[in-house]
Amino acid sequence: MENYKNTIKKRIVIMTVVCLVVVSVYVVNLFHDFGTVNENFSDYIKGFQLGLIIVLVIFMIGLMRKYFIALKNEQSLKKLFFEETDERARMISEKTGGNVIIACALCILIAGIIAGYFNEIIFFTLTGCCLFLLVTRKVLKLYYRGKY
Amino acid sequence: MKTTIKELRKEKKLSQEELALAVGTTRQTITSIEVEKYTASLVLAYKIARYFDKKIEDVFDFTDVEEF
Repeated sequence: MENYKNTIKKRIVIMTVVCLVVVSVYVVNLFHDFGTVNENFSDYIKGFQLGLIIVLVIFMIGLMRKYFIALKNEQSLKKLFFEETDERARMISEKTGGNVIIACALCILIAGIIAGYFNEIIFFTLTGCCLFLLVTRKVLKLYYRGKY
Repeated sequence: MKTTIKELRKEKKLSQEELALAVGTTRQTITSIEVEKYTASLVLAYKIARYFDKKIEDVFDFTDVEEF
């Protein structure tokens, strides 16, 4: 359990760094115009990025809160460890593509955001593709949770 | 796979949550095993059986497997 405690501490540090980097990049982006094909679309991209950053930061803060509670309470830590290493949860995760789908969706999203500076059709296509991957994974997870 | 986990749990007056914590799994997994939706791995089956101080075959019904 001591190893898991260290893993959680590392995760908290990584999440804090990611949050700070993401917010810094957004602030820099706000004050520096990288130039886009369509001026109206530029506002849309900025709005999308802001929404994404807010969701990401809220999600990470929620996770960090969960981790802090687990670090203070041995019972919560045990429960969290069992949740993560549970064989049924792992099986369902593997059946729904595991971390590969998440990694692919993340890469597609990043590519979509970058492409958004040059072409709005590519932005919508890649964002839609990312959304489709995540929704499919969630639906499959719900299905397998009911089945097993 | 049929099991006697529910009966053994009731004998010991244990909740699913308590059993799950004792054998290193989640309440949802214990529920799935009890309702025969999920078949536990050998390791988990061993842990559950050992927790109740029984043999694996006393907790899990292998009749279906033996037919093959």
